[in-house]
Amino acid sequence: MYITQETVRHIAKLSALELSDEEVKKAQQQIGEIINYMDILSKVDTTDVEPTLHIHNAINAFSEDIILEALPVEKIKAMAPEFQDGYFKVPKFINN
Amino acid sequence: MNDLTTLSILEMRQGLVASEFSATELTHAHLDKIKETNPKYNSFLRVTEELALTQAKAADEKIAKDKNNTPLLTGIPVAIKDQLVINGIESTCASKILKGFIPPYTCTAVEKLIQAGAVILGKTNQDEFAMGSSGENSAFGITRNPINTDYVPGGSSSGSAVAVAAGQAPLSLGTDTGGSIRQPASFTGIVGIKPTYGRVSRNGAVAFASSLDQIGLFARNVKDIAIGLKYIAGHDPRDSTSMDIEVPDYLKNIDTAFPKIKNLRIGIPKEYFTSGINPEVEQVLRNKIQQLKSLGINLVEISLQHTEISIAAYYIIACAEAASNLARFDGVRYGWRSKSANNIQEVFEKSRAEGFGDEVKRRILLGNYVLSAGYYDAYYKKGLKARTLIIKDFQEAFKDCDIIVTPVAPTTAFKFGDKSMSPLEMYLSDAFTVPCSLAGLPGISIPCGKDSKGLPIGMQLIGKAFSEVLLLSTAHHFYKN
Repeated sequence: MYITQETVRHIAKLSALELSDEEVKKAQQQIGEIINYMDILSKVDTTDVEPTLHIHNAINAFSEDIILEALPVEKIKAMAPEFQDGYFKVPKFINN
Repeated sequence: MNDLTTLSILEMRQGLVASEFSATELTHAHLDKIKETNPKYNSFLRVTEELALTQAKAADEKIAKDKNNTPLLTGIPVAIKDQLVINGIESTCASKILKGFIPPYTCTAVEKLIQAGAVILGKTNQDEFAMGSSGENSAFGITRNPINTDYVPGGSSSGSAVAVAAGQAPLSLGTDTGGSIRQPASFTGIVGIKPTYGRVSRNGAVAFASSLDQIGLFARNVKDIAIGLKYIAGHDPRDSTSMDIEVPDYLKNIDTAFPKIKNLRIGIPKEYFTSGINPEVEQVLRNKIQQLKSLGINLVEISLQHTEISIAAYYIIACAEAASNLARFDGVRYGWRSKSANNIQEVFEKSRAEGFGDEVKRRILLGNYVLSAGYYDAYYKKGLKARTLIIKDFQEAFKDCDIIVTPVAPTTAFKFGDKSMSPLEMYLSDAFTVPCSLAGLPGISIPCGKDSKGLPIGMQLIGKAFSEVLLLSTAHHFYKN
């Protein structure tokens, strides 16, 4: 195996994804196989090669500093799973 | 009346302005076709019949009032990939996590089609969040290939390809990140274009891999693609990566741009004809390329020497970007929220676990793996550097040729389940489409023959950045002959 179950669980935590034990095993096998394939990249020497961050090397697209219409609260509320008094509602996460 | 669903857009236009049929009749013909065939293909996730008929009626009024001053697309029915949001119409990206999601704004490319008078027939099925090469990864059922329903239609823009191939629409929008338009076009025997990165605004296309995603089109001939591209291309302040470069009249130039170039040089990259390609696909393509010599072109053998590492570079970059882009689906502001979450962390982790399908989860995990401490340099940074090498390959190649011709995919359409058990094998089927994506270049897939099973084989033409005029004109002449 190219990656451990522990690594899969760590990555799942970083990804905010709950995985069952079965899924961890499957991910270990499948992602391991893919990562192993990615090592094909070590075939090429990239010592003096710059990474590509933007394909057309366009820089700084400026726009006028003008106030545009914001989304109406009603529309935001309609999309939200839970919404109250103008706020998204989630389970309490700060304890006294 | 003849079957209106087999006409080209130009024929539809002629019929509309000559009052042979109305936009309403044209729309009804397509809605009827969808009703009749969608249970078989599952290409549409939802049909916007009411909207379509309202738009068709408006188109009829405009044509009646001043037919010569209406845009070419007035009254022409179009289908839209579910990845592209439309204000007030459920848009899910074929994911459970967005089931029931009603977007509050409209994708720029769709908005431009509507402005041009097009009639929106509905939202098409796809691989979830555009992740897949077979159409099998939809949370709402697979899409079937109308050429043979035992075979996949390709993906990820599976429904948009099938809609056009099956006569449910003459034109459709898809998205292409690593081949998601070109490959299904090839598998279903139609034409599909991925424009140059930055040619079409990505505003309103739900982001998968932002440095690669591009909206493009499917149609049954190259002229119809040229018509559609003119309307969706151009700068948009809401996408800072859309380039402020003039949009030419692609249709007007389609007959002339290619013949104007004396001794057009077609580059054939040797790396695309070595390992992995199905012998039948190779033979059909080689025969076709030889035939093209009669059009007065020169064939030049070129080398894209880093082709072999393209898949690795692509999946590293695409998954890294996907892992970041899909972090927004957290069960808090919109989309699915788990009913069994007891605290905020569980809201995130359970909502995402229940909402995302297997392939999406796999790519998020893979993306966060290559971005995580200890692996960033070895994978993500290495992938970005490999991308530079792939771009340089194309720059070198274009010194010796004007257009590059390749197969679209190593094989024709495969059967359901053939590759879905091995994610890596599925990834490798994108070998011929991802290099063009990594280089941000325009690519078009045109049909060039069939294999012994009667499944279509596609030819890919790749041009220099923003060379869509020559690319479309060349594709048109190749397809015609």
